[in-house]
Amino acid sequence: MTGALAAAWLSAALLASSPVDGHEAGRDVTRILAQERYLFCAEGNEYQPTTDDLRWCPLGDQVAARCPGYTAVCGRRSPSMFGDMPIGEGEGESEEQQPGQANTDAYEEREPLQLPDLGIFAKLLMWLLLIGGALAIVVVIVKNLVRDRDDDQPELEAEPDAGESLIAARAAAMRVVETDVQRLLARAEQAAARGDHEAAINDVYAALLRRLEGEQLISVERFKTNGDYLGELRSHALRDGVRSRPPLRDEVREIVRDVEQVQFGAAAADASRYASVRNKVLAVVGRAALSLALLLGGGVLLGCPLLPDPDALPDSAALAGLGTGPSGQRAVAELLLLNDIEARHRTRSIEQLTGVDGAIILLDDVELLDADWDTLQTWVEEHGGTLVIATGKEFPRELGIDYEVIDSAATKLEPGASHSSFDRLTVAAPAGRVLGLRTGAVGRTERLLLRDPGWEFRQQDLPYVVRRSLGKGEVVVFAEPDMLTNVGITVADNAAFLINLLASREIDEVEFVNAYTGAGPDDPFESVGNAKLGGLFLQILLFLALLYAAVGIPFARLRDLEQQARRSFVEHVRTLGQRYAQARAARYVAGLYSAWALDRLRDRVLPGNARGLHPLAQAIAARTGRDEASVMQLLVHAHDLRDNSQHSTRGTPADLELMRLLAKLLDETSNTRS
Amino acid sequence: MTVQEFAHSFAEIRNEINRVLLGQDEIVEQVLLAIFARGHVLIEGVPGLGKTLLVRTLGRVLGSEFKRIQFTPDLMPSDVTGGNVFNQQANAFVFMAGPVFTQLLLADEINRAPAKTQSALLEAMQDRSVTVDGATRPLPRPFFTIATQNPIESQGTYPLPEAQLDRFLMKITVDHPSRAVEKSILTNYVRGFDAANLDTIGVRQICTAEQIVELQGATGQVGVQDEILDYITDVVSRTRAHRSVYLGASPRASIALLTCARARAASQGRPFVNPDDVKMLAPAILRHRLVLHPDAEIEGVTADDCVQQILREAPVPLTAA
Repeated sequence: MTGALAAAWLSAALLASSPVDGHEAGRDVTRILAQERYLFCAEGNEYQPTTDDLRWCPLGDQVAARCPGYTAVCGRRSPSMFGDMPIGEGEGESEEQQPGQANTDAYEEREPLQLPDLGIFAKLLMWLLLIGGALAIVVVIVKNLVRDRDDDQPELEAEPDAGESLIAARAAAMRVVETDVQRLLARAEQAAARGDHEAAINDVYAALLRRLEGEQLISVERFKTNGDYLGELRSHALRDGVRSRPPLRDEVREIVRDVEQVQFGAAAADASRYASVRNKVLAVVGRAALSLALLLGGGVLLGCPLLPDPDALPDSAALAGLGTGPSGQRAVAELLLLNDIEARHRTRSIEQLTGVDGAIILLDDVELLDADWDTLQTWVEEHGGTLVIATGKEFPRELGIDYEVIDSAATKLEPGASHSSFDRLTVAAPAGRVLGLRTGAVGRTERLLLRDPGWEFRQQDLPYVVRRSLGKGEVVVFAEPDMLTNVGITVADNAAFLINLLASREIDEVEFVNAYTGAGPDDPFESVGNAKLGGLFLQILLFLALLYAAVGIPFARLRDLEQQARRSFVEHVRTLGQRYAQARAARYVAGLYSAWALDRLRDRVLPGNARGLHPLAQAIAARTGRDEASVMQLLVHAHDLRDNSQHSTRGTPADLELMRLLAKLLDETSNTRS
Repeated sequence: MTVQEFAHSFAEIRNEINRVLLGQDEIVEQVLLAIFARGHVLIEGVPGLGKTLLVRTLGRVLGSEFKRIQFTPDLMPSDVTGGNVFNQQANAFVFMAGPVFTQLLLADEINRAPAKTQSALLEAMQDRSVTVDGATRPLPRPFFTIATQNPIESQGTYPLPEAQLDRFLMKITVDHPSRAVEKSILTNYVRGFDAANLDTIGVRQICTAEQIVELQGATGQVGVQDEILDYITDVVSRTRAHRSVYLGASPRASIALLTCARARAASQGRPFVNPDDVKMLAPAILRHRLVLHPDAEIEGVTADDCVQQILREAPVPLTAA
């Protein structure tokens, strides 16, 4: 962590001290525009341009070096787009969209969406619902927490000999388990620093296990041993058919051996042993990530923090609002990201401008109110921010800077002030306006870029980019918005100029403001209104109110708790019978049943010490009214079966019939019957 | 003898036995661990899986005197222990030693003899001595019993009582070999291997009876941390609280688990016991010491299921989880 911070500081310091070279920035631009999202740079593309997209066509030869597809885009221009009007003239008035044009940068003016007037009662009801929902969620979470705590306690009590078990006590004490690899490694370092090398070894080994778990090579569980983890590594390698994985397993095994010598053996945990284990763990962690990346065909884990891909281009969802066409600004933002300047599209409105320490860039399609300009001016003067104005539109006169239209076709721009960041760069822009500086304006002014005056304007000063201090901060004004576009950074050293412009002031955070900034709703009602869902919500509320009136609070049908299923005794008996049947022991069972039935009959009808079958048959006949001879015959059969079932197991249908007769006899002699 | 020397000898013995018994590496290892932990083994498996061959090979490789008792329903205790016989010439009773007086005893199909005869082995297995007509005679050293039983047949058999089962350090179940192993067995048979004659493949004697005693003593050098003792205690005590177990393992099981774990650590040249030793050996040591509830048995729950569940619940000491 400390190393990363130091590296970041060092790179920032180097960036501040040494300006970016034009070739270096050009290479970055080429890489950025080679991505699929910049369709207009792809050869053979079918990108349909807008007027703004074509402003760089006069410099198309210079653009083609880094954006080969732009030439074809320029060839697609339609005469109806321009007529006789030269490019750059009439900016803002010529933005008529052709039917069927597909341009991601085009910002269509929409009719302002009207929030249906819900009325005070509806708004109050909606807020109550929202608050009630939030409270219900909080209550559910708290209930779950309490229930979990209650559920945990019986588990601990249920453990055998929990009071005597050191493991149970330790497990209870160590409920909170650190699972983050970086924090485990940091904790290990801290433990080593205070001399607790045993804890340090445990932590660094835990970091290894968590790392392997993160790569889904193992799953860490409380009941698993180190041997289990090695077995999982082995089975994982076999399952994936990776024969080269055994080195990883062998290295983990070696680490396990070292760790166990400390944990369970007599080896002392000292600094050298910790260093040895740590070095092995760090080596395996790196290799494990790499091997998995190779296993998955590469690239899956390249975004892993431990193994950043040096060739990966920065990507961020925060750039989604910037266009990818020639007149868009996404490539500019990616270029800044690549040079350690945190760039993002501003989504929140200017009114909510707080906490931005770097720069704000106003793009060409931004629409600002006077209040927004006041906010920005206050932010610059009091918070020391840097405001870059590249709108091409009017801005407050207080700045003392105006646009001036000249009749020059020069495209070359020259450094206006002796500045080490810019004086070796070659910068160009399409023909267009320059800036006029009014005398008497407050603040120090620097002319950063000047238009080449040519022979006709030799005596004039033609500023193109001007920087003026304002309070604690400063304002940078571009005469045209062209340079801050995706296609603008492909020409000459324009990319290096932009980077150095920000880096020379050590700006490391930039927000792009365009027409989409602040376009989102400020509250849920505005969102609902924009989506035209107000009516639907009202209907739902009405439906809920009716449902409540009809059914009451419990909307769902109440159900009894599900009873825990348990097999009945009959099922056990049936299963037991099946087991005997599978063992072909029907006669054995019949013999057991006969013995039990005889004992039960004797208990019921022949109390005392009378022995023999004859008195029993007489008693049964007297009780049931049956014929004594038939009863005697039945008893004799049962008696024989009882004595002889040990010698033969295979049963016959007669055995089953005998059991039925005995069961019937038992029923007839039961106490309830008598 | 150091732990490393123990591991070397152990590996040599195991490899020699594995030359005869194909695909039974784990069983051979467990039997050897039991022997070096001074215990007895109950092997359960259907006929034809090489149980007897294992014991005979053991006797040859360990250089121990080997005797076999075929247990039958009419076997009498004196047929096992021996007895006093009247010598007419000497006009006195003379003790005729039974087959139990040996170093390696194979009690084949032990559950075919009634409990009375099975119990004749109790004293021999526990105290390594035999008492006949009031006279106690020590058995040769080392002495270990390997008993076999068939899990399928139930007719005409007498299940071993719990007291007898507890005397066995391990109960090892032998399963059918894999197709590849079975083919290797056939290949060896075609090449002339004769299970009745171990000389056909030149099985060597690796050690002597005295060396076995020395090896048994070497396991005492293996250290055991408190955390391991806690883990063993935890696992065994959980068998007594398991809902499917009617009668859990006794403290003798804890001791057995400890001694076998030390033997396993020594067999790997490791001077300390780790949780893997305990976890690997727990099923073989605990499965025959658990008496299940009848309803659990009816539902098809086995002792192995209970042990595995316990091992999945007992937290391993010093775990990272």
